[in-house]
Amino acid sequence: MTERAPQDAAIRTELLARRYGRRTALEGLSLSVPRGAVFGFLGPNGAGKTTAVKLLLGLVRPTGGEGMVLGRRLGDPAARRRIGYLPELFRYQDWLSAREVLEAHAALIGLPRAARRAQAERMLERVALGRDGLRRVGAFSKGMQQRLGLAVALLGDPELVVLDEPTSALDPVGRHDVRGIIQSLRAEGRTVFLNSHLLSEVEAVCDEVAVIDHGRVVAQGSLPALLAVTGVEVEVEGLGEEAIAALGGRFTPPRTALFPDLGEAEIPALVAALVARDGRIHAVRPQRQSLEQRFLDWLEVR
Amino acid sequence: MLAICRLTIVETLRRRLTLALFATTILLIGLTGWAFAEISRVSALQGVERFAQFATLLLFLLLLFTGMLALTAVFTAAAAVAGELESGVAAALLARPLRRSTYLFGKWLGLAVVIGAFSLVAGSGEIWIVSQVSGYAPPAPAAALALITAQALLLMTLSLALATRLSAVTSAIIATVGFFLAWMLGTVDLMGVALRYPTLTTVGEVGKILLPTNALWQAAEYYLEPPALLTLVHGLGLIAAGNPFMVLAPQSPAMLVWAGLWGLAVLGLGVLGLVRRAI
Repeated sequence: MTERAPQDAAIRTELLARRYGRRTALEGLSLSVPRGAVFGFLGPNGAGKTTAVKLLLGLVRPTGGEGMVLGRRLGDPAARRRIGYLPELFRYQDWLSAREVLEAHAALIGLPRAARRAQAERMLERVALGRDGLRRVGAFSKGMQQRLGLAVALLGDPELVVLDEPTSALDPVGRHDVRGIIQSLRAEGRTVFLNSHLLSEVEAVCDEVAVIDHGRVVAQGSLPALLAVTGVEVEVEGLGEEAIAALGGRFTPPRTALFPDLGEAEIPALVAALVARDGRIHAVRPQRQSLEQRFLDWLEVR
Repeated sequence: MLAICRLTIVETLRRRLTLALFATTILLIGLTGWAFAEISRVSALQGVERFAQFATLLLFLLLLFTGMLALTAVFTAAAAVAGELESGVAAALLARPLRRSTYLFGKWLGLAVVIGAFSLVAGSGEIWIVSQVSGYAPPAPAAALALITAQALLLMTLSLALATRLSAVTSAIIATVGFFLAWMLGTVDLMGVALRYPTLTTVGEVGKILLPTNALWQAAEYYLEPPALLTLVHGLGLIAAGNPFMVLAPQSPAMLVWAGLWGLAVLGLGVLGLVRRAI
C-alpha cells in the first residue's frame, strides 16, 4: 500500500473490530503506538486484549476497520519479519531442545544458517536460560517455557516486540528480569507492545498506555498525564490546623498537611506560603493516584 | 516449507513414532513369514491351487496392511496439524513471515515422507518374506506398492485438511470412516459387476468419484493377482468373481488421474480452511 515511513507510528489501527459469530471480541479499536515506546495495553480479563494482539499479528482477520503495523497492512509477512511475539498461551515444541526451538524460528525469519546457533545462544543467555539450551522443552517448568517464549520473541533483531502477558508464569525474580529486558529493549530503540492485566508491571515500564474494556479503548495517553497529580502532602511543623485550613489543606497531627486541590504547578507557591507563615517544612510529596485506582475508576465509568 | 517439513519429520522421530513404525514393521514381517511358512508346510494343495491359495492370502494380508496404514496415516496427520493448532505451537510459528499454505505444505511433505517410507518398507518386506517362504511373488509388486502408498497419502491428505478446522480425534475418525466407506462402496461396485446389478454399480461408481481411495487399492490389487489366479476365478463363475478381494480388470487411467486431482483439491481446501481460521 504505502512505503515504510520510519517516522510513522509503529502501530496504528482505525476502528479495528473482530466478531466471532454474534459475539463481539473487539469493537472499534483505534490506537496509535509511537515507535520506540513501551506501550502498555491494559484491560480486565476478557476485554479483548489478546484478540487485538492477534489482529495486529495477522493471526486473526478483522471483521471491521483496518490497521498498519510497521508501515504495512495487518498480517503482511514483510512486517512480521520485524516483529517478535510472545503469545499468551505460549507453547513450544516440547520434543525439541530450547536451542532447537530458537533455531527453527531463526530459520523461519530467514536468518542465515551460520548465524542461527549463535543468535539462539545469545537469546538464551538474555533470558537466563544459557545453561538449559540443550534440554528438552518438555522438561521445562512453566516459567522456563515463558522465558523461552521471550527469547523467541527477541530473536532476529525485531523492531516491534509484542508481549502478551509475559510474566503470567513467572515468580517475582522472573518478573523483575522481564522488567529489565523490557527496559533494555526500550534502550535499544525497539517498540514494545505489552499486553497485561498486571498494573504494577505496566506502571513500572510503560511510557504510554491504553486501557480497554469490552473491546473498546476507555483511556489512552502517557502515564504521567493519566496519573495526574491529585493533591500535595506536606510534612510541616510550627503551623496549626487553622493555618493549614486557611490555605485549603487538612491537618493530621503531629505534622502532616494534605492539600487535595493543588497540583504539581502550585507546589512552589504553597511552599512559599507555608514558609511565610513560619512553617518548618520537612517534606513535600505530590500525590499521584495509583494506576490501580485510576483503572478501577475507568472501568466503573462504563 | 522445508523448515516445517524438517520439523515434522523430527517430531515423528522424537515422539518415537518412527521407532514404533519400525518395530511394527519388523513384527509384521516376522509374523507374516512365520504364518506363511506354517501354511506352506501343512497345505496339501498343489499346482495352480497352491499358487492361488498364497496369492489370495497375500491379497488379504495386504488389504489388512492398507487398513493399518490408513489408520497410521490418518491419526498421524490429524495429530500433527490439529495438535499444533490447538496447543498454540502453531500460533508462534504462524506469527513468523510464514504463509499458512507453506506451513500446511511443509507438514504434508514431512508426513508424506514418513508414511510413504513406512508403506514402502513394510509393504515390500511383506511381499519379500512371502516370496521367500512360500515361493509366491505377485506379478507387479512395485506398481502395487506405489498404489497402496498413494492410497495412504490420499487418506493422510484428507485427515490433514480436516484437521485445519476440526479436532484431531474428529478429523481422524472422519477420515477413517471415509476409508472404510470407500472400501464398502468399492465392494458394492465389484458385487454389482459380478451380479450384473447396474444400481449397485452406479452406487459404487459414484462412491469412487466422491472418495477415490479404494479405487487405488483396487488398482493395486490387480497388480497383485497373478494371471493364473484370474483364469481360475473366471473358471469358478461369476459369484466367485464378485468377492471383494478380486479385481478382474485394471483401473482406468482416468480414475487414477482423478484420485490425484481429488487429493490436490482436498489439500487446497485444507489450505483454505487454515487461511480462514482464527489461530
